[in-house]
Amino acid sequence: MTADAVTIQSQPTMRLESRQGRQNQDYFLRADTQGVGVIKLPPEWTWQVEPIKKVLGTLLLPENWDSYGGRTPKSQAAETAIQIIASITQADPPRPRVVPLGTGGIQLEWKKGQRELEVECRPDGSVEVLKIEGDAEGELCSACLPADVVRLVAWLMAA
Amino acid sequence: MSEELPPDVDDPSIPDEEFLYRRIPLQPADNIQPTEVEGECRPSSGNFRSDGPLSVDRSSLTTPGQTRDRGRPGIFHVAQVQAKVARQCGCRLVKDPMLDNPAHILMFGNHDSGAGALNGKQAKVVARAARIVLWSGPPL
Amino acid sequence: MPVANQLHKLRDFSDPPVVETVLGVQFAPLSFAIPHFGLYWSRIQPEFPQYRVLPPLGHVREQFGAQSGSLIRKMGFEVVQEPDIRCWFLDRPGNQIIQVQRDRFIYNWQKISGSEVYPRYESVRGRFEAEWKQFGDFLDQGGFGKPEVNQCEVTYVNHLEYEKGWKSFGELNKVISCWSGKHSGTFLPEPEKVSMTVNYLLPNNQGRMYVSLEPVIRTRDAKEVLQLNLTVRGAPASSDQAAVLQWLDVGRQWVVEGFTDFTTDVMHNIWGRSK
Repeated sequence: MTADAVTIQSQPTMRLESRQGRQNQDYFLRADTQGVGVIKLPPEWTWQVEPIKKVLGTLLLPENWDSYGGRTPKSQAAETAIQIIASITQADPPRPRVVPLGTGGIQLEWKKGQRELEVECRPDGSVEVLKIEGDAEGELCSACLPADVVRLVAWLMAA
Repeated sequence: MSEELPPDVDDPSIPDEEFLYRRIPLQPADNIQPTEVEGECRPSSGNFRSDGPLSVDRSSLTTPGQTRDRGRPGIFHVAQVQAKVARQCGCRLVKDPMLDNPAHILMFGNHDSGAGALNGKQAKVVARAARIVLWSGPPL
Repeated sequence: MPVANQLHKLRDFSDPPVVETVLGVQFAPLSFAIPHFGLYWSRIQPEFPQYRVLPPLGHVREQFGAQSGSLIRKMGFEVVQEPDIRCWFLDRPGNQIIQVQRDRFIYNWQKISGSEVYPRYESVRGRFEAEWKQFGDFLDQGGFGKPEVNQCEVTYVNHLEYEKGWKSFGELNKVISCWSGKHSGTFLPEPEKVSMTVNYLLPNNQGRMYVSLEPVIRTRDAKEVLQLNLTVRGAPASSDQAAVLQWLDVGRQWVVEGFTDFTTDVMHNIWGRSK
């Protein structure tokens, strides 16, 4: 059998979806016939892999995982969290902590110096961000988009 | 938690100096983080997020070990925070004793949903002040 | 040679790394509207009670001759009266999926927990045959007529786990037979990652096989694995059930033989190759 063509693929096969004029890349494999769920790993991903694995790991938590009736995180929360991680293009940002919430959401937490970000990915996929500097109470931003979070990560990295 | 919630009215008989205990799951490891003091850890604010008011135990009526064991068969650390910290960020503390847990208290917050949960800011204030007092995992 | 005999003569593995088998057909688009998805679902709902709605797949046809190697893919820019969708209908455990869109019918069997025993091609083929016939009856009774099948597709999805015969991309030569891992000099270190796509032509323009290899994270257990997909696509001799099944059998033969040729004897031993 001889090869018809050999290509070394440097770009992953991803479907681009326009949403509100911005390009959103769908890393959940939905663009072909496969059913088994996978996240494709673009060649440029390095630090992203571990937090994404942590996000997926939260989906394996059983109901009442926290002994207070905590719900297993929802897949929509995980998709949003992964979308946010995948959208961060800054080189070598601080690694986010990944914390499951009893509400069925997932929280991503970043800290650099005196600046902190807590990004709540809710069970319905919506996002709320708490932006903190120093000992201040912080500023809550509801209905944030992943692109807003990316800008806030840039703010954090400027600390 | 009792089936019907008690009224969302702060109970002044719970002193400000009272410590409140909460179980913190060992996994995932990101649930806790080190503080500036070597060997000391605190929980993430995510541990104080819930659908309704937050369940905690009064230190005057129980011990950290008893709080931990109420979570069996899971494995948990126990964190503590003073009642005044919760009140200072606008939370209300209400006694809600249960048959198997007379120390049970509900901490009501100001979440937009109106269901009595803590909002993001309140959870952060409480988490910042909380400290792990009973460590159940391998040594750091 | 009778189909059954052909099936038995293929290589066999007792513990292959296959996690999913996909058998599908593509046909000229039907005037299938959203309510028709529901009407079809009502026929299969007792066995396939779950559903999901996804974006549709592009219309794909293999080209040969002057345009050999190119793949024409219409992305659906035509003006349609209703949104174009793809519906998944899943059985209760989620192992079986029927995927339907205006121009496609696809049957998947996939591992969900990872511990399921792979049901073998004969069983998957039998299920596809039954479901495709039922879909055809539905179309016929709904006045859509007989679908004009223009492509068939067979895909096997394999997950190669690290630490099972190999540890890093520097040892990819232990997995992939056509990957030597050698360089002509000594400057380059071990590769950090490898992704690969290789196409093969089936004889007599029966179709084309795509072999793709890439690192992924499996969502069911958050594990990093190397995904090796083999997809064979081409046109059957006609739209008849027999012709479709015959093409699928050829496609499957290429997938199995191709998988065996593409991977090493070392891995074959790990996967329990019996013939």
